[in-house]
Amino acid sequence: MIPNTYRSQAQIWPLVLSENETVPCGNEKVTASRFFTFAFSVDTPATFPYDGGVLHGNLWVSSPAGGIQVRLESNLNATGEGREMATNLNARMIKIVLPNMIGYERIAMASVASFARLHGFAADRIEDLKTVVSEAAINAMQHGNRGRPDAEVNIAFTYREEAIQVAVMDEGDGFKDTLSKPDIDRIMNNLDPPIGFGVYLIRELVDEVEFDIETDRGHGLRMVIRK
Amino acid sequence: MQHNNEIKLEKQGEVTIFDIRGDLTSFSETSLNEAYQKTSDQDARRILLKIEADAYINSGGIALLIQLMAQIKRNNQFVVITGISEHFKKIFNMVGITKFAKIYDTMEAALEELVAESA
Repeated sequence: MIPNTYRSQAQIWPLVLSENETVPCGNEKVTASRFFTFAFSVDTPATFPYDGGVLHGNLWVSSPAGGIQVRLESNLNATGEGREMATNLNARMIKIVLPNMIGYERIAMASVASFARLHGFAADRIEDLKTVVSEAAINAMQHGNRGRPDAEVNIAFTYREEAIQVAVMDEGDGFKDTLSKPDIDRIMNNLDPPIGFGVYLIRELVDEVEFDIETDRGHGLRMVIRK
Repeated sequence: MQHNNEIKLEKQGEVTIFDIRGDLTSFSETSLNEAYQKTSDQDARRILLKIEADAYINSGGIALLIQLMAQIKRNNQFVVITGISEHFKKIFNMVGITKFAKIYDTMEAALEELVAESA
């Protein structure tokens, strides 16, 4: 029988888990799926409550070299009757904390592109995702965090029901979507400033968007892109 | 963090080619303005913007491109674009850039059309 709660007093895991690599997790073993392709180290122990066939886990990883933190919150699908507790990491959510510095949005773009590829998104939708994640992150850095170097941008990708949900949170006061579509004729004639393209692209490229959500991690936006 | 962007100017007949290497973001402002200033000093009338297919272009870069095209229009010059990916063709169409600069799949087609349109 599998206990209702399965806990790993996990040791610090190996620096890099390659695909299908099996690593110890308490007294059991866990097989890393393709999600562990980053050269990050797991720097805190992991605990996996077991709940009716699915192990829910939280893995914290961080880059030893930079200010980037990546947290994978994984559902660990137990195989068979779970006697071996050999499981595949089946990541459904990735969280990234970016420094408030223009350019680092590319980290989020690369991550969401990898995440979408793993979940079978077509190339054109991945490009859409990259663009909207980039624009949302830039808005968070420039407008939400007002360029403050000590601020952070929290980004979470979740895969559910053939769609990726992206939440981009900053430390600002929130954003009301009151910008109208940029009018290129007026911009070309110097009647309007050349602004508003980022929000416009987000609205056009995603299937759902909310521009003013609030969580314990701050204010931000939530958007959904379907396959 | 590095923001690589370089623009090489080339002449091909009466066409001035902006060979844009790297990304188009708000950090491209200086290189784009300098390139356009040189072009204007040479009294160029026909401009081809060659953008790399894997370039990262964000809203800051789009805004700069539109400002550049506004200058080009005011100075009665002609401009076309080539090289960009299908994704950014779609984006350029969405934001209206293609109302002022057609996009061509190849350099040859762009040059041919540029010469024909401005003749």
